[in-house]
Amino acid sequence: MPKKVSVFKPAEFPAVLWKRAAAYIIDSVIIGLIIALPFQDLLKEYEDKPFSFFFSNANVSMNLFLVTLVSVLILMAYWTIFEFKFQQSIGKMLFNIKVHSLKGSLTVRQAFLRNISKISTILLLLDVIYMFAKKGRQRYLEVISGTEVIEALPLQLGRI
Amino acid sequence: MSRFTQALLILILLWAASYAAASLLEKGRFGADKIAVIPITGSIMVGGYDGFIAAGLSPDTILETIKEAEEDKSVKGVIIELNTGGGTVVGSKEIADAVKKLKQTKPVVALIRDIGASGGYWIASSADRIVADPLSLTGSIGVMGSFLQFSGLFDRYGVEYERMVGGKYKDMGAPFREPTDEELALLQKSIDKVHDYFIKDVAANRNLDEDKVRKLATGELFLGIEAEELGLVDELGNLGTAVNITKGLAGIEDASVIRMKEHTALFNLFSGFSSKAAYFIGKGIGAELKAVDNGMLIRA
Repeated sequence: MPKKVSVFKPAEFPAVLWKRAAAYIIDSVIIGLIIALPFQDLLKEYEDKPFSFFFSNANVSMNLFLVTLVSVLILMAYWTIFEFKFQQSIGKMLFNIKVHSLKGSLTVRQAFLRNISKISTILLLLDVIYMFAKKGRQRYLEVISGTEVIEALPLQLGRI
Repeated sequence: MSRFTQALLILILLWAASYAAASLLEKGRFGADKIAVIPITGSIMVGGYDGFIAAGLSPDTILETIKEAEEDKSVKGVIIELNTGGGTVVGSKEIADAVKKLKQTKPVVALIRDIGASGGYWIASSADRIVADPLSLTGSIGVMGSFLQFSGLFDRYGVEYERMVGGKYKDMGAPFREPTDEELALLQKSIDKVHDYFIKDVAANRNLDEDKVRKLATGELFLGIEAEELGLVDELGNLGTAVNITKGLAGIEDASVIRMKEHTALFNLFSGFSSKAAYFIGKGIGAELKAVDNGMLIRA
């Protein structure tokens, strides 16, 4: 009976881009629900206000700053905790992709560092543009943190 | 513990942290200045009931809302928005006392909309300022203890009331028999005492001469414009006027106006529906009795 051997090791098979994008969208929805729903009532009183209102009053500006700060902390907590504990966020779990450390076991520092750009759409965009510009499979912060996103299950290409 | 359970727990913890942060911010530890509007709408009745006929506004829900506004550090001023013809004496007095206590910590402005009369005016008088529309109805500084008395109806239909009491005044005010002159005098004495209390409190609240208030306290309703001339109301206007006055009293330039939610018990919601149904049933029965009595028989 011929031996079934997997040709590619998991560490060498990067996750396809559409899976990464879809996983990110799902995670964003989940984070949005966690952060947005509790703040719904608080932000309701500001919904009719013009943009300039938020900078016209010191108390309002402080309020806005604190809401932003809390949102960023919750967002970073989500990515860091899930990726450190499970090597996967919920979106990544659904698409069977995971975070892999190129420096041994994944640490909290690595999980935190690789996700910093997600606090801002512009930062994330720049991070992703780096990946396309270098024609690689890692975002800039993934290079810095020594991590990559790979397929969670090994691919078996048949028998040799 | 399975991965799914762990993931779910983490999500719940994150949501709880977010909710706690939002609650803290909402409570105004770090929030923008607010002016809270507390609506008082409908008849005021302790417990929300007047017998079984009507469900009114329980003062307990208003007292809870007032307490919330008092404790919220971001609330710099309160507007009590009145649309009530009053209600029970104790219910109205409880709210008036709560308003007086509240104004010791932050400014309170009463805004009279359609009507702020009797107990409603008592509450308004407890505030720092009163704003009313020129055509609002207010005043009615008086007390009513009227009751239905069915002895004539019972006589007509041969119904007798068997009186069995321990204590000669025990069934005083019962609708099944005519009250005696002595009982009417006793009831009137109580009503006069309440009326006197009401007058004195309004006079003290509004810093008016007691004799002047007594002369106005015939139970007469006044339009807003008349009330202003009589000194019962401070300014004519609307919510915007009340907001500006509140800001001025609080010494703030800008504030968000938030309407405090009424705490309505689920039971009161249901009882409101059932009491309205009872009212219309009674109205229908009454109409039938009247038609039969007049020798008519109404056919559907």
